[in-house]
Amino acid sequence: MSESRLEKPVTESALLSRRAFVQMMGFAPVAARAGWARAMTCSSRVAYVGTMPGTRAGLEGPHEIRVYDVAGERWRLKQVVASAAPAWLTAHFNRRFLYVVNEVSQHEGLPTGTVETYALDSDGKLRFMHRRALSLSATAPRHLTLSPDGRNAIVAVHGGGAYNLIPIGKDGRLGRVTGIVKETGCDDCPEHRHGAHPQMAVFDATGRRVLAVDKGNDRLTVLELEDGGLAVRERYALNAGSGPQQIILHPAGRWLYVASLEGAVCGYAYDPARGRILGRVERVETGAQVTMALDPSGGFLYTADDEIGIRCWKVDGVSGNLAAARTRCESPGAIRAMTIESGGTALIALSDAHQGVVKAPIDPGSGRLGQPVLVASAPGLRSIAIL
Amino acid sequence: MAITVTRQDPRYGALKKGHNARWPADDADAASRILLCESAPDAAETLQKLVNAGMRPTVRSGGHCYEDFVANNPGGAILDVSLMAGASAPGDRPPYRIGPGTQLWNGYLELYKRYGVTLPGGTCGSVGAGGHISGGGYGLLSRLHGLTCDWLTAVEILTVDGKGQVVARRVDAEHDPDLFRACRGAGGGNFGVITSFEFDKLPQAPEEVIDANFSFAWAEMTEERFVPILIKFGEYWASRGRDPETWGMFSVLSLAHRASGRFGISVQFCNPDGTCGDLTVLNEYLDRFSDCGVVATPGDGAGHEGLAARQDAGQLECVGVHTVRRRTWLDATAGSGGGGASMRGKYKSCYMKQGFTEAEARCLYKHMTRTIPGTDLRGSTIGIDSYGGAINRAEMADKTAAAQRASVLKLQPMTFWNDAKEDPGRLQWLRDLYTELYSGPDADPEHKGTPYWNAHYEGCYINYPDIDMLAHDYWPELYYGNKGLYPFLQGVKRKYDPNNIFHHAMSIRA
Repeated sequence: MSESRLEKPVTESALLSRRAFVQMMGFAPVAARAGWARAMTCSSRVAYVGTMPGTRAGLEGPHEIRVYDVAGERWRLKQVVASAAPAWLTAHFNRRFLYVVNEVSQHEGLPTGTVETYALDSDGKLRFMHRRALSLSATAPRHLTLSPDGRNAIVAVHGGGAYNLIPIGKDGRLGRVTGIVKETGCDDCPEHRHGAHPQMAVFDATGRRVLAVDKGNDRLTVLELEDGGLAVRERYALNAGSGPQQIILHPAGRWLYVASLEGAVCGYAYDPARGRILGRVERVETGAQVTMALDPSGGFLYTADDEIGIRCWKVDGVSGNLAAARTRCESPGAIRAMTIESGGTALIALSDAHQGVVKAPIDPGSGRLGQPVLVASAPGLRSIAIL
Repeated sequence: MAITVTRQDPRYGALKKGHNARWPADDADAASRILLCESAPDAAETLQKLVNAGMRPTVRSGGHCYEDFVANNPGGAILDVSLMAGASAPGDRPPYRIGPGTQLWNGYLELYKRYGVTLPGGTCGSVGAGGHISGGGYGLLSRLHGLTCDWLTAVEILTVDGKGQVVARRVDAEHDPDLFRACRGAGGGNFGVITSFEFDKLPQAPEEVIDANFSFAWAEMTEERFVPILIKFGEYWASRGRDPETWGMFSVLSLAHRASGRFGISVQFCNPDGTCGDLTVLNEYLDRFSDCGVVATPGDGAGHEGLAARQDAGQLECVGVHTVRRRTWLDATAGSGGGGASMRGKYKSCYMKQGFTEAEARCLYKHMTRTIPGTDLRGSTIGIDSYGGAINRAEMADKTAAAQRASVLKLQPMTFWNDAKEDPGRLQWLRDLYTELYSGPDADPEHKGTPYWNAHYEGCYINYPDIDMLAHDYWPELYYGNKGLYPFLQGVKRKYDPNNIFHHAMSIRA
């Protein structure tokens, strides 16, 4: 199939300059930003930030989860918990548990990654519950997603090239792995990728199917929960060498967006009734190392990359196509991850250059980003979850 | 097309298990199905389907894996090659072809009856060739003829390439020689599904052998009497036992726990030419134990399980003060043709380059007489096998993946029981013994608690895998040495199994 339809290069006029962005980030005093900061205060109260400084050159320090009170202008650090390579954080919908994906390749001598479970106190502080080993060979996991009913988790295992299905008890504890899908490389995989590397997975609205991206074999995969296990329903080949690394399912459930290492975001039509990927409906060019966030209404998609910066795309509610919105700010280096506060009022980004958390208010009508501020500093930021 | 046994099949309960009754650990750990393959194309088709479905295959030939590497496979499938058994007729190229599902005793019998040859393999007759040979494979004739993998000249194996496609290969010294070397001792479940072993030649089976046994009663044993027995046993294999004229003699000191009542020494002897006309070497060996207050007898069951069971054939005769049994090699080998009952078991291993020191002997006495309240330690034994001889041809270390080529003794501490409630006590007893034994003055100071390679020890045997060793980040060196074999195997793994389709707790980690 063709993957070149509906390309939308962005005009220079949509850009803020790098200098302007750095000035905003680096020099604007917090007091000057108090107005918009108060305006975007929302239901979010606590943020959890995972740090892995040792995995990046020039940064040292322990791997930990930092717990912030996010109510004020600048986030207030209220707890620090040591953790092994907290590559991804997922808060349970019931706001009682936090699941931490440990991107490790060995646990208790066995070749496997792990997931930690923490209970959340009323003030958001973490209480360690347990650490669950993944399946054998499920090394270096990257991502965990919860089913809509909160009873199952899927872990995308980067190193081991696999997906694990884990049931969740009423007490929030992760059970034993009950489903495993082991992936392989593909016909046109670049040699240097060495096989499958699942990056991320999301449940569709049925809660029985999972859409996943693998940057090793350049595939989209539809998995299905079946008899307590996990089975492959469809494998959908993307452009060879594209390196899909992030997937977001639109709230309408009919489009999914995939960000790839090659520097593009593609949209795909999805049939939730049949669990089928129907084909590509969109492709927009971005810089390399692109990451995405979608606002809760599904109206705006934000992308950030090393070359162009943070951009906003308006999502067509009929076609799923993306149109460049006239809001854009140049990014000071890599944005490691982005998320949006639950009310859709602010974009939160982990900035490598600033070694901190950047927060930019969102205008709900236009999706326009306001002046970003640095709300927390920590080396080696890697993952974030906000309640 | 493979025979598929799912949970609904009445055969499932029997076929999901390993020989070690501990595995699968529980129902949730069991494989979702067992796929019995009857030919190489059958196995290739089955493997491809599993890979396509994203299911983990574990490979089973005889089912004797000590750890959970095969039977614990939640959601996956056991690819069972036990029906791919038998030895080929001569005149084919190569002359001898052994199926991976061939049980050792059946292989010995068929090779002997058809061609008069044998494999220098193990004594547990129901062990499958697939795991045994790929992990090295040694037995009563190994001092005389080397390891089974030393004789291997080609392997047919199914691997899975980076794209997830099954590839049928015939590997030998000229074709994929790196994979061929890895299949000669690195252990099963690492690189693919072996569908055939090929041997250009095999050693002639001995014409006859002599069996002899010593037996010691624990009730009459003291530490001061015990220590010289062990030292005397080890000294022989570290000195006189290096002489090629002794290589036809194999002996095992079956050091049963005091709770068992007795322990013993068993011997199988033939001269290097496979005959038993001249018994000088045997008599010399038996006489070494005369001052221990015993003389050899035909056996009372206290010695090696297989050897001591041979009481039903052959002729008794006197050798000096000793009474021994002469019989044909086939009769003798048939006595060890069983596989033992399926029980819960835990095993460890150690290669020794020297005999026992006094410190080691006293440590063994301590633990073999130890009691643990609430734990019955009957069925707890250390099999101390004579080793070396033809095994220790140094050049074979580079041709195979069996690195240990300087040892004179091979230890297998083990314990067997039936009730799962005994698990903690049994496991603790064995761990305590092992840890203390290899924390003494003969152990490497940097690797206490293990028989790490030094002047005294030569690590562990991969066919006796012990996941307790995973607690040490250097565990691969215990099994594969520290001279570059493990990095070599990692390269083979990356090349031939880039997706790590074949994996278990102690598989090669690329």
